[in-house]
Amino acid sequence: MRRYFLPASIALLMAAACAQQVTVHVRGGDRPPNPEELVLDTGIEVDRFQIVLRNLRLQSQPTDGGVDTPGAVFVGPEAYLVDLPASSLGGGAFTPLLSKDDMGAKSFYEVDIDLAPVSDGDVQVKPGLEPLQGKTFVITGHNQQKVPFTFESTLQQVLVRPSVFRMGLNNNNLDVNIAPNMWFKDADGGVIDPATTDPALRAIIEANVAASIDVYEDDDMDGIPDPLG
Amino acid sequence: MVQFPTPVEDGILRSKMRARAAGVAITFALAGLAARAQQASSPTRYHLLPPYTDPNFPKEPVPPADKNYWIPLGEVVFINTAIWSFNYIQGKSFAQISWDSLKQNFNKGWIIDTDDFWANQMLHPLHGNLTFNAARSMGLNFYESFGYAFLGSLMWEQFYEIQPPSLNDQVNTPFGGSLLGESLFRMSRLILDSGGYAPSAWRQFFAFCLNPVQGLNRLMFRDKYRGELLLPTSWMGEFRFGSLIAGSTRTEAPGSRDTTVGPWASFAADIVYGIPGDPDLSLRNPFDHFTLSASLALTGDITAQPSASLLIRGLLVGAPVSLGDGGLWGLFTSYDFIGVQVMRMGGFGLGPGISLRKRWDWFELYGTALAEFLPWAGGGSTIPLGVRDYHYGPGGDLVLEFRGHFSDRVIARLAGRQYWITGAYARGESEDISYGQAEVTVRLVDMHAVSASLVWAHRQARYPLQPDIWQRGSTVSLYYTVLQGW
Repeated sequence: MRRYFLPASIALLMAAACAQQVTVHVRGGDRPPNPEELVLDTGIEVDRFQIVLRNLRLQSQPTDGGVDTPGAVFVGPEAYLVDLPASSLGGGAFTPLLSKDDMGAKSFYEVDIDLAPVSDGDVQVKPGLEPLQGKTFVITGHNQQKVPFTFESTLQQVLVRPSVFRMGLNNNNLDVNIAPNMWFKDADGGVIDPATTDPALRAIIEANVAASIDVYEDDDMDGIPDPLG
Repeated sequence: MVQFPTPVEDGILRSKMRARAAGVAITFALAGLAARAQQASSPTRYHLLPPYTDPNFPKEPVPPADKNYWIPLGEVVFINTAIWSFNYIQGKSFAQISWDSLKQNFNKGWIIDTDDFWANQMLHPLHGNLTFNAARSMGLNFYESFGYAFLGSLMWEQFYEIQPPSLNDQVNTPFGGSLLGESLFRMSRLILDSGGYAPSAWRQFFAFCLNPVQGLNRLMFRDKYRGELLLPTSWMGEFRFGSLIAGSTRTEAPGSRDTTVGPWASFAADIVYGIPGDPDLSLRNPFDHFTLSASLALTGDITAQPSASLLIRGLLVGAPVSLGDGGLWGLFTSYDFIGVQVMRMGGFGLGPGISLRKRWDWFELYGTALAEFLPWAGGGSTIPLGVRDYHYGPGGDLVLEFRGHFSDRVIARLAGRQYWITGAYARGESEDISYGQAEVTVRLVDMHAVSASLVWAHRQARYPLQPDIWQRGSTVSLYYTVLQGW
């Protein structure tokens, strides 16, 4: 029996560490435990949300929005169009975004995502981005008066999301959580009409959309950030 | 294994052995207990006569050698379950396992965790020591017992925590646990077997305290798996009880600071098992020669960071050498843990080394040199730098130690260690840690002595995006010391 102990143990160890994969899913709705419905309490209905996320990268230590760390890993090194219909924007619905293999058993302490308008060059490289040419994101829906609206933004910003990401040697998943219920509220809890042309109010909506995007580790895809244990 | 004296030798020794040491056992807990010790004729080093030189030593009947592979397997499961239950009842989050967490552990695969450095480098080896000794005390040898510690750790990582299995734990638990386990196994057997096959209740009690798994197995199976007596041909131990009287630290980094510590209660031990140069020393099995140095200094404030060290070094394979007045060389393995107020270091090592002895008329000098590869080591500060405030990676270390015995009155010890640890597994860049010890012990009467100890440590850490950190810490301690050995 003794001669089989070490080989058997090592075989078990190896079996538990075969093919590493890191997937990224977009999750629609507020973070648990209180997922919001798409029909917001503001009375505003969102029919579609399109946004381009760029350079999704894990940092080996917090950057405070500065330069990438030497150990940074670009999980998604390109520009990715996230196109979510109403059904994918609430209730914790998951939409696959991208995946990456073989990152090693590393830990990371921040995710950064770039937001920037789609350029002509982007479209030449990736024609699928054309619907957002010149724009960073577009929201379409109906306001409180049931009047259709289209909110377009050219926001340019780096989203910095500190958290702990511990990559295992098998299957890992990151949630990019988008919470639409935050978009059209002002600081006092009042409702902002998405059809507004007031630059100050539009800036608040843009800031709200950026703030509504969070990233965390959620391997079992229950929507809840994984505990460190 | 020891050679018992012939009847002729018994006669010669009888006059010297009316009273013998009250025992190694008692020194572990009751330093002040008087020992009816009688020094041997050789004055160079303080030592007692081995217990087996006593003609009344109960060296029989020798039970037939027996071993069992299945019982320790059950005990490994029991030990893991008992530790898990204790934490579960206490409401520890990591112990709240479920079918989903088990499934998720396999799905996620192995990680390098971000747990506290003490838990990773000290508690896991203590855990591994228990599973190692479940097998070792059932008649299995060092390598077989290592297999049980490895399997026990694998089981723990996959099934007993909600945290995904950790590669660092899977290294520290069986490797650190086996080295600590073998040391404690041999020391507990030294206590027990110094009483032969009729050890006193006190010997059994202290052997139990040092190695509880072995103690439980003896309660259940008596001497069925004990086999031959396991006594070294030579060993020496210094057991210290005193105080860290003063200490200071300095950190040079953004927000640099100086601190002072002490006075703290302090306990320490230095053990050499199988003394290099001993002509009777047999080096057939792993750890026939090993050294163990441990210390712990702390206040009554449970939240204060204690100052502690655990340095274990054992000879895996080796042979005697005839340089000087003899010695040994070979492949050593080590497990080091150093925690000095502001910095920590821990790691498992493997490498070649040599240990020599030279004797003069009234002076005896021991020297050891060792170079090791550290497959997995860690180092860090107690200054929070993100969730994980330490580096993990492979590295190397150099050890140079000298110990001089001035007649049988004074022992002077000088030791230096240099560690280089990369951050390849976690955090990047590197650690550069130096650790030095200087100690003097003066024997007053019989086995009673006083000691003074100076510990100095220095750390330089490099980080990818942060400035380098320099830290140093030093402590001075005074002890009442009990000398033992033969």
